[in-house]
Amino acid sequence: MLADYGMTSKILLIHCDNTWAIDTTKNHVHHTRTKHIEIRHHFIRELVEGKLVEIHYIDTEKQLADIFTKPLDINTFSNLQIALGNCEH
Amino acid sequence: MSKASKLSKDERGQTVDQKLYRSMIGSLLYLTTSRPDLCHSVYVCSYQANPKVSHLNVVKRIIKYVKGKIEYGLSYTNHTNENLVGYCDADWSGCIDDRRNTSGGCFFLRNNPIAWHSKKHNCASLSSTQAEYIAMGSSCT
Repeated sequence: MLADYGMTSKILLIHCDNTWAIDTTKNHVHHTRTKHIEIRHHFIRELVEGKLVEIHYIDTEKQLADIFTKPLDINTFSNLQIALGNCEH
Repeated sequence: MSKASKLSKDERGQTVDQKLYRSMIGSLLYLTTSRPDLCHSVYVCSYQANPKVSHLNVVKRIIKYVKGKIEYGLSYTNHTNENLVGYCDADWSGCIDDRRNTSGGCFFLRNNPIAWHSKKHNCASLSSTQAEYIAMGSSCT
């Protein structure tokens, strides 16, 4: 879709804060606790193999998606807001 | 919004007007398209099927927050970084009713946020790794 706007994005970088999950995308290891995952979620592995997506590790403090998953304390919340570009006008 | 608060079905609580509750949630959901900070908190109180007083109080609290931060908005800047960058995260068994996880993520183009989501998974996970893996998979589709 981005090509319609004249932008050619080479690769999608995804930041994740779980190293084991990143390893699972590269090399599928069967483990009792990661066994029952629906097939559609394994789509990410195809993307990683096809080099369309690159997954990088990021520190929990710098993880911007935290604001969408859990209730945070006021300091973290406001820091993440600034990082997202959500600020006062 | 607070770290300690957790919402549950609250089956013994007093029932409130469903129509009112749904319209409040509906308007707040509309607002989440321009205010990513509200995304999770609005999503957390989606108990439209059987709203109770405790849920209504939380929704009112969100509306108070919006009133207090009415001048907030996303600012877009010109940046040279052309890559599309995504962040994804998952919490583990965050919902106390059915122990399902929430995944969230946002995407940046030229360092400006273009898309974000917060969504409950369809199934309960056994580990946080599984939750994060599912979050990664669902954010790419």
